[in-house]
Amino acid sequence: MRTRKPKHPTPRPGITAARVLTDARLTDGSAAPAYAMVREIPQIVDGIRCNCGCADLAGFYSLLTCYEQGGMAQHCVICQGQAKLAYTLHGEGWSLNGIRTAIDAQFGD
Amino acid sequence: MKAYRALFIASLVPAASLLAPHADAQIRASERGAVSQTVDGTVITVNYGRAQVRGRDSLFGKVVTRDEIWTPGANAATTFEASRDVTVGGKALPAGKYSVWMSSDPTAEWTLYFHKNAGLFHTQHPKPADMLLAVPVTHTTVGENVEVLTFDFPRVTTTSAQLRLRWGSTTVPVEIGVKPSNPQVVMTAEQLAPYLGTYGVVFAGPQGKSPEMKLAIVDAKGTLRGIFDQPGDDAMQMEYIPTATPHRFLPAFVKDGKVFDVEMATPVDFKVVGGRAVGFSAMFDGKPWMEGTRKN
Repeated sequence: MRTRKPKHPTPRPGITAARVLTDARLTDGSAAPAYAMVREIPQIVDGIRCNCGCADLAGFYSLLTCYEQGGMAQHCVICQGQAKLAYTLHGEGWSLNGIRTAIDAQFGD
Repeated sequence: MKAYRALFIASLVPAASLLAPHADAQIRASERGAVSQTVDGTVITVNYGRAQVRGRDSLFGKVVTRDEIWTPGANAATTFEASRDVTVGGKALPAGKYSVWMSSDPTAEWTLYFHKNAGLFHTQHPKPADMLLAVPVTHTTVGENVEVLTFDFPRVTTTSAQLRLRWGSTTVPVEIGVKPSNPQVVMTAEQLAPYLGTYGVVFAGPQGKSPEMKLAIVDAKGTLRGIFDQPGDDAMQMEYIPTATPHRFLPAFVKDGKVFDVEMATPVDFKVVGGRAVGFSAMFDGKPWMEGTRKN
């Protein structure tokens, strides 16, 4: 049972999806839809903490990072699940805070 | 001779009832009182004679003598009744009704006792060895002066309540714990799947329907968790607890990941078409007060 709220990062001003891996660089094509979603909403994904454990690693800032360096998100159901849920809720006009809460409920500790 | 005497006595009864009022409503020096508290469906009731200080000093050690196992009250012994199994001071006490007794030597540790016979009079002191349960209790003597012996429940949580005895300046608290009535019910992915998704929700009120609110229902480690998108730091979270009726759930408020309030009176019924919920409604007092329509 969670005893404290996960701390979500603050989206970095001006953040873009420029560093998100292109489909051509993916070794697992099944992850392409999740990557496409992240490319559309980098400013939202950058405000979400990844709950797969990578958030505690050096160099990881947000869920967006999972889709950049090394492309670990293509092999992680949590990274992809969080991005898909964020994309769906953002598309329905949800606030970042609401998106974070829903993600924590489904993917948090 | 006996028959003649019985007839004579019987002839006096109507006359006596004309002369004297009934004696069933007299003022008592220690009126009876009762206090009850429900904790997660477990009803705890204490019934006791409300003894008064009436200017007496040194209640404990003088009015209640050191070697006395007394009932904290007056006249008929104080009773403690629990509708379900509870713990008292961390010790198990089965559901039932008991008489309550206490040792209160000011120079020693105090003990609260529970005896199986709930119908004892205050002079029928049971022996400690005959008690069903003995619970060490702490007491303080720095509280406000309470004239009438009082039991109350100053603190109630989702799983416990503090029962407090006060008389004179003495306070004796003891913790009553209950078993959770709605332990978390974990569902399989297949059971959860029909309900997951996003919904638009409106509430019915005296002024008509509310603006639509956004609700997401997600799989939270095998439970159905609803999150309302709303302004502020904390989005409201609900857990939907399955019932024996298909597609019917009890909504429960969640805080810090834990259920703290189950709404028994407003079950949520999902309408499922082709294995997928298309919406839901919740009734209160026979009228719909919340309706949800699937968005995604």
